[in-house]
Amino acid sequence: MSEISEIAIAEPLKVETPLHRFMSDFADNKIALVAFFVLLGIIFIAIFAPVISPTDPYDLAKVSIFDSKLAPGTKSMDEVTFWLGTDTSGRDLLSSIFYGLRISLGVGVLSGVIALCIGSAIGLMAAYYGGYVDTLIMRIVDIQLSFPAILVALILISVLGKGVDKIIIALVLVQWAYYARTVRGTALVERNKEYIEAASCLALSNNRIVFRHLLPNCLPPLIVVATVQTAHAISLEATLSFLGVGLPVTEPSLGLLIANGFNVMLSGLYWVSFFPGIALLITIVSINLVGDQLRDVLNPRLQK
Amino acid sequence: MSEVMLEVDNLTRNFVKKLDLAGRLAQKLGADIREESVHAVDGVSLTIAKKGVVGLVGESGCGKSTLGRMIAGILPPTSGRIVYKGISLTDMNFEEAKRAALEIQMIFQDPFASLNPRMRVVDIIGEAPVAHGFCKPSEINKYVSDVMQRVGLDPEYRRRYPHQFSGGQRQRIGIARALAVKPEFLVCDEAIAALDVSIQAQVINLFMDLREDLDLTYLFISHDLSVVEHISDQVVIMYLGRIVEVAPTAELFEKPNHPYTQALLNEVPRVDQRGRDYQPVEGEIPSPLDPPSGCHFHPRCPHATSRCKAERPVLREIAPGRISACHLNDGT
Repeated sequence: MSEISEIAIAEPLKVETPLHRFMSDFADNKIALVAFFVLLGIIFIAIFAPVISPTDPYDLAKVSIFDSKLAPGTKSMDEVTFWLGTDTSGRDLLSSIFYGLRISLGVGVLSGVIALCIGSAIGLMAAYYGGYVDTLIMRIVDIQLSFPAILVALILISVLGKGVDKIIIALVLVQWAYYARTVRGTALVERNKEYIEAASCLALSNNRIVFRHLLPNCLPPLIVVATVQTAHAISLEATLSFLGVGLPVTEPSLGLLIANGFNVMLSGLYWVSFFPGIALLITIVSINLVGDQLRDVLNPRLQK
Repeated sequence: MSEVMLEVDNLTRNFVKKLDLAGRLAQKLGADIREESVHAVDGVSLTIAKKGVVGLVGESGCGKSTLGRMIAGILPPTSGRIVYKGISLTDMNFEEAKRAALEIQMIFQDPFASLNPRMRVVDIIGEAPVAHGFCKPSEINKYVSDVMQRVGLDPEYRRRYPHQFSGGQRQRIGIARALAVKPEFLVCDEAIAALDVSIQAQVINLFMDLREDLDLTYLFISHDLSVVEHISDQVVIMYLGRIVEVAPTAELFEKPNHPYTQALLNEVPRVDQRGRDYQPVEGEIPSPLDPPSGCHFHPRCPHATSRCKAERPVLREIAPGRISACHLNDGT
């Protein structure tokens, strides 16, 4: 067996844990790294909003109408600085944005994850079974995708009614088709590769082939779609709230904050809409940047 | 002949391209469209002896890979029987079918596509043995190391991904994956065609060493006659889905019977015939969608007669252990 060493790869790799390698690969792209930390900060804010907010904007006992329409940086009568100003009801905008992020992010991520699970299961089923199952599923997907997402969401909301759970259901129903189509397309390509034939030649069970061989190889496009769709869900929810059919007023998301300020925008109170809008923008852009970099890093074939 | 390992009886595989809705409508309206059907493998019968090495040769598109995939259980046959160790694959109960599926393993052509790019070598090789109870999950490292050593891979590399290996090493991983489930019969589908010539020799030697050590039986599918001559005991020549000639290797290379075999052998470059003019087989391989009538080879055959156009020649014994399908054998 002396020939082994001659054809072996010359230099052995440095000993490093997979997690370490993953992190150093991810950090290669500085913009993505910045976006990642921004996203971490946003998630931190969303989770700990009640703790870190300067005021509680939804505690009616503490909100004073005399503080309304204050410009960014002015102080309240209780000597609290409103760094981003106040809205027409006298609520601190910074605190409102923190609370709004909590709702927006929660709704977006939760609906994204549920749609991902449902959509990829359906897409894998279509690709693996083929035939009539495939035709039926993909025609439903085609029909769904031919309607604008906002229209479908509006119809669903008007049927289902208001509420956080209702809007999550609506967002899932709007989004699953994107996942299903992506997974099916990739799975159809991967299914015909020889490693799948090899797996069936080794008499591995169907479940194992689908979930251990087929699904992991469909991941790169799925991750990209997942991040884009999560960002899309957040903006769709904001749109619905802006239109007044999204979340109830008692659970204000970023979209609702923007809608509130829209009425007074032309009166010179730009900050009431502007800052929630900026928060939404930063959230969506950083999610997309992180998603792109994740796709590059998670693909072993792109690694040096 | 020694004990029979595998017998293929009148095996056929059609690929049908079904008409879609628009096509069916057009057909109803009188358009000249019909379902296209390809007889990739057309009534093939074959016997492989235990510990034998059978070379299966033919041009691309002649159905040799399809035949190999049916034997390996990846493609179901349209009709015909595959009899393994005396029992037809379709008559087996669940346990027997599973054991037969594991004992017949396949080595694939493309070492880049045949390994799951997202699994480490240890999982690629060790997944099936663990799933089928050949080794305990806790002993997977030792088990995989043993198999890797057997195929000439350094067990140190078991934590790596396939893309970190060269083509020859990947093919060794593919072989190790098959060996890990203790097969008795290997179907090698152009297993060395994608490798460099220097690596080809190493892999062929590996196959031959494994045959000695593990008493393996091989079906060696290739378009490369010199490789087949080197390793096989018996050669099967296929043309457009049918077997045209079967013979022991030495006899076939010495005295090819079928005109197609003769044409193929003329193409093999040889040191002792250097400087000879090169006469390729005339014409293209016909489309299997619309195969020629009678003997499939007649449009390219220098000896073709009117009978060859009309009548399909049957495989007949022309000498002990040799069969050939050609009308010319009737005359003399």
